[in-house]
Formats: sequence, structure tokens, C-alpha cells
Amino acid sequence: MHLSVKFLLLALAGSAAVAAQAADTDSLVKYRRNLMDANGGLMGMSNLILQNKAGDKAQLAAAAKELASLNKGIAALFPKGSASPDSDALPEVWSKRADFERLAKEAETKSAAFAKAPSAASFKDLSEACKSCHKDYRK
Amino acid sequence: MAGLGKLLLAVCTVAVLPVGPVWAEPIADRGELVFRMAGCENCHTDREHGGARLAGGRKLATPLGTFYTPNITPDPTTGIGRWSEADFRRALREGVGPDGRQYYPSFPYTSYARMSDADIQALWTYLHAQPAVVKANKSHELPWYLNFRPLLVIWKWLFFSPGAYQPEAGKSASWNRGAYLVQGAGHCAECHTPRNQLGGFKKGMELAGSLNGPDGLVVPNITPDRQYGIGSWSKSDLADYLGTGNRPDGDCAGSLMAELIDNGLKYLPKTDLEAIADYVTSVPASSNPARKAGKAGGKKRQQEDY
Repeated sequence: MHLSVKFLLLALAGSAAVAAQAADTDSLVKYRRNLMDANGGLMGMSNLILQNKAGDKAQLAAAAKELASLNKGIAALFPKGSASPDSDALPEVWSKRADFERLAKEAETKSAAFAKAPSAASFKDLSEACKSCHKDYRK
Repeated sequence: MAGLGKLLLAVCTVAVLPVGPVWAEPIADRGELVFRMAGCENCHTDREHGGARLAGGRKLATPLGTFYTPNITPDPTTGIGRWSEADFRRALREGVGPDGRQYYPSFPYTSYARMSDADIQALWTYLHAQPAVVKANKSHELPWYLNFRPLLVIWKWLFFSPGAYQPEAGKSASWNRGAYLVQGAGHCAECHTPRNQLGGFKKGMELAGSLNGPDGLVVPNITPDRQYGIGSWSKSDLADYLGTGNRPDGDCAGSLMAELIDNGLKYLPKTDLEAIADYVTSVPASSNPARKAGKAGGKKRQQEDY
């Protein structure tokens, strides 16, 4: 095979790999958006139940359990190179990684505590954890 | 038996108490309350770089240039330690420094002008009781034609209306309190009302959201429009949000609004937050679609953008 054809094939393979990578990031951004939307739905439900506005305690326990499960390992959903114009993640997610991971862990801990004993107080702790991370790391 | 009765009564009383979100303990000191409402600490502290509280240096990127906030600690040389209370009042009311220098409206005197004398005095007392920090101010980075401050007199003539808030007759005390807080110390419009190319507020679009917020952020429409604003929020939803950061859809405040809540709004008495909600839910609904470019749009996505 002629050398230039070989180079052409290599270049094609390379661009296919880049496209695959981009597609993965696209799916990952959609995935974490959906996860955060689910978190939001569960938090909104919990808040209404805790304020006695709607819902019931059985659903509170279910929502809290689900939150604890979804919030395990949040930081891993934001690997290097997964920034995107479709994402609300700020560049600080990667440039201040240690602090971001600390806050993500905090959300995990508070979610677990909320699942263990769902109450207005543990809900507040969890929502504070969400907010403290969204303050610096989300647009 | 009487004991059991009392116990039952106690249990029932607890059971019927209104259950609400857990609020922070409101603050008693008037100066601190004004300080919290005005959000002074947010802009005048360079939190990102671990700067000292109120010593300034925070970067504010705007479409007109980059501003660096000044030191407002009582340090006599780099802060406002040598100012008089009259100097302070003039800065807030007229946007003019003690040396006669015109301030850029990145300092929201355009809103602070609405504050009452009593609140300005209380804020002055509070600020002067804070620790002094020596930290020199950093110059703004502006295009050359904006460095000539006397031009700001023309800007003021066009876009600034001085004067403390005047209560509106025929509105409730709570509504007037809310309007006072929103238009004055709270300076909500500074980010939430869209601006024209000269940086003046667009007429008739109070709180209708902006695509050119500070640091390039999209600032949401918070008028009662059901599609583009927060028309689906009840008054108590809004008051709860301001006190806790929890939105009715379960998402939470982020970015600059989270800072405002954490450093300020959550410390306000619940009656003040309800007053703000009374007022904000009464402004004219606007269908200004303040949302990020490139987003799919639609009601759901748009509401998630803040």
C-alpha cells in the first residue's frame, strides 16, 4: 500500500476515535443532567412531604433512599475532558478538583444521612450540601 | 389522668403546628440585616482567591469591561476608615466618592439610593465595626473611552433617578416593604433587569431577566410570566426559596444567587422574605426569554437554567 494511503487511513481512524470520544461526552453530559434532574425531582417531592403539603411518609423514605443511591460517586461523572457547551458545569470542576470532590463527597454523606433518618433537619443538611457545590461549580 | 391529658394535649399541639422549611435564625442587629440584604460581602470579598472579608478585589466581568471591587473595611489608607457617615451616604445615594469622583454603576448606587437614612446609618455603623484590612484597590480594566469618569454624569442624567423609596399608597405594608427591599438594598434589578447597550435598564422590563449578567451568566426572568418567568411559583415557594435556596421543582440555587442566599437572604426575618415575595409576584409579567444560547428551549429546560 502506498505510504500516503496508509497515512490517510490512520487519519481517518484517528478522527473516528475523536468523534467517538465526543459522542461519549455528549451521552455523559445527558446522563448526568438526567441524574441531576432525578435528584431535583426527589428533593422537590421530599420538600413537599416534609412540609405536609402533599405526598406521604412512605414516599419520603423511598425518595431519600433513591437520593442516597444516586449521589454515590457524583465526582466520577465529571471526568477530565467532559466539559461541554451543553453542560452547566463550570471549568472549576476540573481546575479546583480537590474542593469539588470534597463537596461531591459531602452530598453523598448527607444523602446517606437523609436516607437513614429522613427529617426536615437532615433534608436541610442535604440541600445545603447541594447548594454549596452548585454555588461554585455550576453556572 | 390529668398528666395523660396534658401529654395528649402536648402531642396534639405539636402535631398541628405548621410544618415549614428549617430557616436560619434571623438576625437582630439592624445594620447587619441591611448588610446581609445588600449583599455587600459577596462583591467586596475576593472569595475565589481567599481574599480577606470586605477587603475587595473581586473581579466583576461585564459587557462594558472588568471591574475590581474596592476595600470597604475601616482601614484608613486602603479602606473607608477616613470616610464620614455623610461621605458614605453620598456614595450610596448619589454614586459619588468623598473626593468627588463619579462611581461606575457596577457599584449599584442606582438601587442603594432608595435606602432610608436610618438603614444607611445602621449599615455605616455595622461596616465600621468590622475588622480593618490593609489591601490596596486594584484598577478597573475598561476600554479607554470609559476611563474618563466625568462622562458618568451624562450616564446618570440619562439613567439614574435619585431619591429614597417612597411608599405607594393603596398597597399593603408588606408589599411596600418588599418593594423597598427589592428596589433598594436588595438591588435585584441590577442583575435581573435587562440593560441597553449603554448599560441603562430597559424600560418596562423590570426583573425580566438578562442574557448579559455578571460574569457572562444568564440571569433568569423572575416576573410572574407562567412560561418564561416564575409564574408557577406561589408566594410561599418564593419566600422559601429565598430563605433556603430550595426551588419548588427540587433544584437548588446555584452560582451568584446561592452566594446571596448563603451570605444574606437566609438570615432575614421570614416576614421580610414574604414581603419580597409579595412584591416580586406583583410586577408585570414579561415573556422575555432569558435563557442560555444553544439550549433546546422549552419550559422545562428554561426553568432549569438558574
